[in-house]
Formats: sequence, structure tokens, C-alpha cells
Amino acid sequence: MAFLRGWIYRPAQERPTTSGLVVLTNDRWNQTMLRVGVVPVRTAVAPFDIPYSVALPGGTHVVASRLVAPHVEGGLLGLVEGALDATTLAAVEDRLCAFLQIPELLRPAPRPAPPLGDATRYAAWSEVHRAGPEVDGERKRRIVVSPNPWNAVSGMATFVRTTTSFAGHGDEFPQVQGGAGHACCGDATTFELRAVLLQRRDRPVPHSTTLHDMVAIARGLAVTHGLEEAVRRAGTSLH
Amino acid sequence: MPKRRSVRTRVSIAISEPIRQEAPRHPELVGLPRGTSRSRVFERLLELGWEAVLRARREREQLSLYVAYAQDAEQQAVARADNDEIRRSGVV
Repeated sequence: MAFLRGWIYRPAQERPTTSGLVVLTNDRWNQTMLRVGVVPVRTAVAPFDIPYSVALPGGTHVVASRLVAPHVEGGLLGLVEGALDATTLAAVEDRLCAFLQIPELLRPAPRPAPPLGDATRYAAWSEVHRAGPEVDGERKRRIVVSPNPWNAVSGMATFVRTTTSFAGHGDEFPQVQGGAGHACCGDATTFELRAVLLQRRDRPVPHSTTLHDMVAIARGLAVTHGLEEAVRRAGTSLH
Repeated sequence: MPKRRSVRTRVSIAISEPIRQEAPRHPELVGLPRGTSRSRVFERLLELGWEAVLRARREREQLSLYVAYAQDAEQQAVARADNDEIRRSGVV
């Protein structure tokens, strides 16, 4: 089944608070990839998700701060339920753009929010962690792209994976850490902190990445998740 | 001065009959208000055509990049493992 940007798909199996999943990755991505970027339609919204949520008729909410990238045949995405109208889709794009701090990062002199409280207790923006499930005996290196105020209270963080096995050239796979690897922006996904190695001794070196890398990742996320118009609406541009 | 600038930016081209006849009657189709001049409609058509050409090239490049990434073995393994984690977690 083809997955299309802006369309809502039912969860393949019933989930406690999620009634749908809205595809946000661009349709070239959706045509070719094994995984697509989605945000949930939820019946309940946590306080920390409210700034990134858009209300739908019927009392549900699209929550842009819960971005995940399920496998298209992984038993999470079910049948199509409908599509967001253009105005709602634009509002969701704006929330995701704000969540990923893309407008701020694309400004001439970006100043992202600093960590809040004890930043050793959560995964902070721009840090590099081993996170997600083990693959071939190790957790992959991932860079935190979610904002610190949300990271500090949600018990989650959103990551892009870095890779040395794929060296594609394009905004979607920016070089990071001095060219040591590429960030896979289209795979951006959110994990609970139990899937993240937070201890400093478990973290890869370098422990964090540069502002320059984060700007390149922001640009990549805008392309993979179709946020170009949202970037324009926020008064900034990709190039 | 304005006249000289105008001469430099204008080109004379042949426009096929259907476009010459129909396009000026429907300026709203290219995002312009009713009553827009013929030359402005044709100018906008050219802009839209050029944007479409650039977009088509970008989309071809994107597709070949994405196809290459889709074949990356590490990406395939991570996609499956991440999916299991997403299903187990309470994120969605």
C-alpha cells in the first residue's frame, strides 16, 4: 500500500490513545522507503505536547511532537482513514517546524534554547547518544533534535540517526561531525528515555554536535518532512 | 531609464494558439487577479514553467538518492528494529 503525505492511517492494532497516524514525509520519500515519518492523532494530549498539537473536529488532536518513523510493513500503519484539509495540514507543519526549532536554526544567527535543569537526566538538544533498539549488538548513534524544555519533562527525545554506511549527497543526509558521518533526517524518530543510554560513559565521543551540524540537520528535516512552506511561513528560507 | 530596462528584459517568442487564446482569459489559474494584462499572464506562465522544470530536476535527484538509501542494508535493519521499539513504546 502506498502511503501519502497528509493522509491519516488507522493504527493496524488498537492503541490506547492513538486513533490515527498522519504521514508527513514527502511523497518521493514515501514512494521509495521502508519507513515513513508520521505523527499521531491522539484522544488525550499531555501538557508538554499542547504547544505542538492541533485540534481536529471530534475532540482528537494531531500531536506533532510525537514524530516517529514506523516500517511500512511493520504492523503499525493500517488502512487509510481520510486526509487532513490544507489548513490543518499547514498548522501541523507549523507545529512540527516549531518543535524541531527549524525557523530559529535557519535564521542568520541562531540561538537555540539552552538545557534546562539537570541535563544529565534527559537527552538534551544536539547531544549524541546511543539510542533506540540494539541492532547487531549495539544501539545506533543518534543526535537529539527535540527542544530542551520538552526533553526535560516528557521522558522522551526525538533523534536523527547518524551513519557511516551511506554517504549520499543531499540536504536529507547532511555530513556531520566533521564529515565522520551523515545524518539520516528522514528517519527522525522519538524514543522513550529507557531506550537511550544517558550515562556519560556510555555516550559516543564527541558527546555533542556543532551548531553548524544542527543547522544542516534542520534543513534536511525540512526537506524530508515537507516543511518548506512552513519555513517560508515562519519568515525564513532553506538556502 | 525605465524604457531601456524594459527593452533589455523583454524577449519576443512565438506562443502556441491555445495558450495565446486561453491563458489571458484565466489569470486566476496562475494566481493573478481578473483584469491582469496579457503580458503579465504570459510572464507568470513562464515563471511557473521554470519553477516546474527546476522542481522536476530536484525530484529526479531526490528519487535516485532515496532509492540508493532504501537499498542500504544498515538502514533496512534499523528500520525493522526501530519499528519494534515504536510498537512497544508509549510514544504513539
